[in-house]
Amino acid sequence: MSLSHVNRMPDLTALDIPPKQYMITLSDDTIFYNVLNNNRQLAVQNDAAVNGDYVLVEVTGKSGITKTIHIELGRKHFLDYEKALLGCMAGQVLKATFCGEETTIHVQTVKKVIEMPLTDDNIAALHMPGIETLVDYRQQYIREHGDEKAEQIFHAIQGKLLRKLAALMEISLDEDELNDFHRQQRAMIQSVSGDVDQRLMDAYGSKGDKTLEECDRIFFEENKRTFMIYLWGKALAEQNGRQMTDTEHKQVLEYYSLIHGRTEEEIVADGLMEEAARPFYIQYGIGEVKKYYKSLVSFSASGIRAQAL
Amino acid sequence: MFKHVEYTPEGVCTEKISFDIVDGYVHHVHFTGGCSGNTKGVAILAEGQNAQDLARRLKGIPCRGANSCPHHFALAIEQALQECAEE
Repeated sequence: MSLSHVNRMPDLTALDIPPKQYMITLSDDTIFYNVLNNNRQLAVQNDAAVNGDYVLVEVTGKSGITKTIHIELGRKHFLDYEKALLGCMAGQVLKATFCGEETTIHVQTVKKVIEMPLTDDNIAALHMPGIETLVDYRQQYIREHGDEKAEQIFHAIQGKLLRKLAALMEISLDEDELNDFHRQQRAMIQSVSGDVDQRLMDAYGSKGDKTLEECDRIFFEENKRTFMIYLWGKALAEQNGRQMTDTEHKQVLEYYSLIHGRTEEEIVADGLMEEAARPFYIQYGIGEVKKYYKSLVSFSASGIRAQAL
Repeated sequence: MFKHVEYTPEGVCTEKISFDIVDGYVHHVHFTGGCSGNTKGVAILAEGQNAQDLARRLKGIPCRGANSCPHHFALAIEQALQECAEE
């Protein structure tokens, strides 16, 4: 039985998540990305070539060997050629020097990209089921991709939210349990990745500005927060009547067995189930924070007012 | 002709391969997942290359058995060229 415990459960509203992180405005560039990508056309460029145009050239070096290259101007993949080709016209023959070698460039074709204008008529002409207007498409996009977008944003802000959450907690921490948890986390890295000290230096001291002791101290503070999230997750699960399913029970036993090299029978017999269950409660706690975040999320787009996930 | 392709391979580390075929040449190659350095390298080397030639060179490159990200890239190119011919 753990000596550490939560004295007072934090109020998630005190996380004070900035509105810009949950009131999400989607641009048409994002929403119509696939539509625009799938409906681009090429047309002959009658004016001088500009960035974004595609130029087909035959390049002949001093050796007489000719190679054909298709270049998108402005992409900077063939920088030397692109500089020479900017402003060119189809049929032109250019001379240029690359790496000290004189080269002849025959410009075969120059084409420009025509983007499909975003209009209701053009969207309707694509005959997508239930989509007659740009607003229809934007609404469908939010329905289909809203949850995925919310997941991406939560993943990006998760670390910050959990640090804030840990700071909000009133917890009695048993120092021996905390130190033991830290040792276990180090042992886990050792068993998975090998040299734990090197891993810590890579993670926290890659700029060469920290000693191993300082890196371990940073790791300890992270583990302290994780341990607090575990305690809170466990208290919350008990409060909500959430117990591990048989599958989850089996998973935590398998994971612990893999990391620590103990059989499942040994884990149960040695009273290590509470320790083995920690990942479950940590994930449960994180899941509750995610659920809270998603309850705040709303999406808006051009012609669409903010609507909840 | 401008064709955008998003291809989901199976049995390899890469989750998705996207690229454009512009008048039969390959551009804007992007691998999602997979070996970062190698896939970036393949993407850069593929830029501006003739799609058919590229598919021919990449097909059959082994990694996990007979399967590999470049092999699937070749399959994606062939599939796209087939669709272009049918359109």
